Amino acid sequence: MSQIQVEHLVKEYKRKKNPEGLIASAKSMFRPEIETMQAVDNVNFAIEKGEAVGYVGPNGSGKSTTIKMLCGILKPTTGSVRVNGLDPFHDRMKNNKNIGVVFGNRSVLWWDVPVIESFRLFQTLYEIPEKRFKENLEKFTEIMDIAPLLSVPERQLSLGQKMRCNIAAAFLHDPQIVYLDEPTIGLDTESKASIRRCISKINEEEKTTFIITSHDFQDIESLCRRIILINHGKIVLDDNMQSVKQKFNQKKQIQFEMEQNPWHNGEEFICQGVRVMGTTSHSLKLEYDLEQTDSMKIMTAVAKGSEIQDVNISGRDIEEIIRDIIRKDNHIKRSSDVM
Amino acid sequence: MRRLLFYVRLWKGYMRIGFLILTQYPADTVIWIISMLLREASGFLGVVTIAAVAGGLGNWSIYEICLMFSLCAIVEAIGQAFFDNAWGIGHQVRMGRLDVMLVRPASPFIQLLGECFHFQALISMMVYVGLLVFSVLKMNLHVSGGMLLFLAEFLVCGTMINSGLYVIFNSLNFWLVQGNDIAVFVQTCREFAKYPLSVFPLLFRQFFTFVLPFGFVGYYPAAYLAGKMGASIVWQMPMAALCVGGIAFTMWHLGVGSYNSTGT
Repeated sequence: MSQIQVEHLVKEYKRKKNPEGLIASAKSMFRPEIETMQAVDNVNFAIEKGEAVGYVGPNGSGKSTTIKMLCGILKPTTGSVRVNGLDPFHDRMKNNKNIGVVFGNRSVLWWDVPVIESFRLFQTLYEIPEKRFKENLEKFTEIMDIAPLLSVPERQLSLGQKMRCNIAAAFLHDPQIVYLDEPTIGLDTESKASIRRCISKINEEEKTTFIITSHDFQDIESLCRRIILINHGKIVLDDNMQSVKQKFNQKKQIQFEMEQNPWHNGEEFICQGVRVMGTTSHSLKLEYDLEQTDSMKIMTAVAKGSEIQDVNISGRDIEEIIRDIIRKDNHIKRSSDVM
Repeated sequence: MRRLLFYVRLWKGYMRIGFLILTQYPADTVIWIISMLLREASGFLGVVTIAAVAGGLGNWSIYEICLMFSLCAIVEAIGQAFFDNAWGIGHQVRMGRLDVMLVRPASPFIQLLGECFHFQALISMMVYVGLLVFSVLKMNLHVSGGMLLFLAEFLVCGTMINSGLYVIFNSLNFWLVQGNDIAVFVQTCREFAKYPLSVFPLLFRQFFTFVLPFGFVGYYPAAYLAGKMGASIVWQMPMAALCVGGIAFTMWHLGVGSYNSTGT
């Protein structure tokens, strides 16, 4: 059986409708109109031990709600979640011993006391034996590079340092699963890169299962091998990162800089599987289908007509691919709503 | 038993952090003590002044009133020292901070209380204990072992009733999101408990006995010590404490069960 098993998971929120107008508002105080919202709508997936999974989706797509149900913070409306065979909501205490959670937007450390004091309290909280605690403390202070920060109160740390301490805190009790909710939110690129390096190192060394939510696709791309995409509470995509790129990256763009563009204001550049995106007197931008042609063929064709000075080929990155999938999904949903 | 030891260790850990925080801000500590003494004293001075001019309230002498006030204030000080974060429930719910407590392997209620200590309150408590001793001496009461036992019983039950009521009404924040107003209203009602309830109409007395049993944190035990009441209080007080404690426990658990987190 998989380590995390999610079946037909549904979470509904009841929300009071906020009517327009004062009189209607006053009425709604006594007899509110309730509308139900499906934050998570029949979600299924299974995650094996040691996997690193990116759980992504736009704002309000239900990703935080799913993560909260996986950690046992929220009770599913229907469906089931099994983590190591336990129901995280009902066996919360037992489950909590095996998981670590990193909240990108809130710190779990004590604001006014040195970081090491917070770590010591975690030792008591998770009942970590002294020997194990010392080993882990040493290991993770080294990986996260926080040794000089341990004696500093959290309020004097920068956001990046705070995050590194929070991540180290989540690993002190040897969790089997770690949930990282937006671990790099609000950080500069350098801090983001260093946090990513640290997390992938831990994943390699400890074989900890990771579930990461983030809006930063570089996080997902550098940390995860599998991606689950959720939109409007439904899973739209659950696949290996590599195959997503191949499957959805059939089109690439190629741009030429040249002495003189013979296809500008003249006859059109024609080649099988190629579409002209734009021309100026010195440049030509094309999009081509990888299944029908390749860059060498196009370059030869272009070189026949003019002298090439520079070439630039670009594929779509994972962020663009995901944006495209979501746009299509939203479109399908909207048109089916109309029908 | 193992679980109990775990919570004792955990509580000690939280107290350690609480104490470290206290030492970080010495000026804040002093200001806090003064403001809390003033808050408790302001209501009290009014009563004492009236009593001093009129030579007592009803059949209560000024020293008996002092005794009642000191009992009331000691219990509040204990609550402030160890259970003050009951007043933080609303904040924790609104900020979604409860999420953090719910993913740890310990009771979220203990974690909530452990987040915030006001050890300063123990210093202001010394002032009230002084007042208690002073009034007992002035009333020429015979200090016996039984009396000390009763005071110990009162400390436990009184704290449970006082802080329990705060937990009950602050737990409303789980459903109301803006439920603090009701809890503040309850605390304002508590001001009445600083008067001898016998001077109020019967309806008031019943309200402070059966609905908001603040009568047990000052009036009833003081009346018993002053010999104005029979010994039935000795078993009535734990009954009231168990009721309040039970309701507080239920309210908190229902609240956590219906907790919906925030949209982050």
